[in-house]
Amino acid sequence: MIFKNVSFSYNSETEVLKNISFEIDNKTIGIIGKSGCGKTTLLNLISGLLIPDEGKVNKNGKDIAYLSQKPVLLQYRNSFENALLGVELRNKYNDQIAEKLDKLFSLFHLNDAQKLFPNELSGGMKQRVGIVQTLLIESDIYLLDEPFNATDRNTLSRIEKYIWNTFKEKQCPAIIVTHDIEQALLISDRIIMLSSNPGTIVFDRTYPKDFCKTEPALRKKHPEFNNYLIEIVKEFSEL
Amino acid sequence: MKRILRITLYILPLIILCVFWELVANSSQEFRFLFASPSLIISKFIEKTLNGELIKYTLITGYESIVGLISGVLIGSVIGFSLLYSQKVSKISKPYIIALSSVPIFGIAPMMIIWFGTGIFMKIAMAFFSTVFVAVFQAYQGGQDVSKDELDFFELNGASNKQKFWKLVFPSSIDWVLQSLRLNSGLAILGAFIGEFIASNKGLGYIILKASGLYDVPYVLAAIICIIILSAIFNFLVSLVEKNKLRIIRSLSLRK
Repeated sequence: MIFKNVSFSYNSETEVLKNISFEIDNKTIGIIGKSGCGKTTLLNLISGLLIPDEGKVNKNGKDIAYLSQKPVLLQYRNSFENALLGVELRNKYNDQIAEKLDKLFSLFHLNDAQKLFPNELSGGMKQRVGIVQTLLIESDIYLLDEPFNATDRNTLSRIEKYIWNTFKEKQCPAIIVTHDIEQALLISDRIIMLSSNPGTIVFDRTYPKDFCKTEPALRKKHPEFNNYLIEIVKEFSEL
Repeated sequence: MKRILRITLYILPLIILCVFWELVANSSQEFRFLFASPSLIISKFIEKTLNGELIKYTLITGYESIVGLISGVLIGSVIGFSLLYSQKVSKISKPYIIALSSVPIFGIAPMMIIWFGTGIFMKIAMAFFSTVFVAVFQAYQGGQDVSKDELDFFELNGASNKQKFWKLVFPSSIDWVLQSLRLNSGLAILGAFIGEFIASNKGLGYIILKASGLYDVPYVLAAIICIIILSAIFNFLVSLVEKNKLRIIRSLSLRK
């Protein structure tokens, strides 16, 4: 999937993204940048929800699973049913999915929330149901917008590990937008940083294989972790 | 204890009004002739209920209203929802719907006799036309109330039009449809009533027309009490539907 010289503005006066070019390879890409720099807009352009003013987004017919910042949970469905919504719309429900759903609910500490409706869920629970909903979908590309928002520390490491593992096994591209630099480095194989007003790519780095193979919980102990982090923070402070 | 106090507070104004009304009616014959009195109304109500006349005519008006209401809301909602699927059609049809909904039902009532005769079907048609335009509007507005994020999610996951309607549009706009049911329950009774008023030999509208021609004020007011009871029953039925909203949505939306 290719992004070529893409520019986008919501109104003609302010350009949100300018001249963005990058190729989406089979890696987990972390997109970071200051608030309002166009990270979500970038995901919307990739998903096709927005059309670029200039440039080209070549999807090559790839299917996309997209977890938006505010997960889509319908009020009349309980958590279990909401988690199955994406699969159901694609008519892909089967016994394996049901098994996987059970597994993910217990892994993400959602067993008690199975029969609860969205208005009975905490922000963190909603987010986790949203993640399950997206991961149950078999897709070519995964887009996750701030997936760890409002997730408590206890569950966070499990989710990070699961997501990291899933994308490693699937060998498919995943783009994760996050405001947390450290988190981005813990989970990604490649980091792209956007500047603000307008958003352009100011940093794009793919990390070496041995770093990418290290699971999130162990990455902090990787000898290069701190160097990578300092490099990003330095760049970020100059934005 | 609190409940008794609350109920008393609700009934108190009615009791005061009735006592005052009764006293004035007893002291002035002219007033009694023009406005009757609570005791006269109640005795007429009991008399006509026991001989079955009021019950029969209330059931007739109720039947006409409910058939008109259900068909009006159902067909109106279907039209309102289908307008959502074509922006062009909805844009073109919007001024027509506004124009049609502003036509007073009383105005077309004489035409209804020409179109539908003087039988029960004319009253149902009156109730239908009193409700259908509100239902179209409510369903159309409700359908537009669907959140963009949710619609985007459905689009991205390749949802069919059927899925979009049953799993998203219908549940999101159910409050609008229920509101249309509530608003229309009064309009349906009014429509049927006007139909009976214009040409009929049965129903509460007929009673009121006949009784007022005979200066039988107690009977007119007894019939009005029946209309109020009918309206309360309709409201109760709508509340029942509202209470079971989630169950209705789930039974219609989960399996589609």
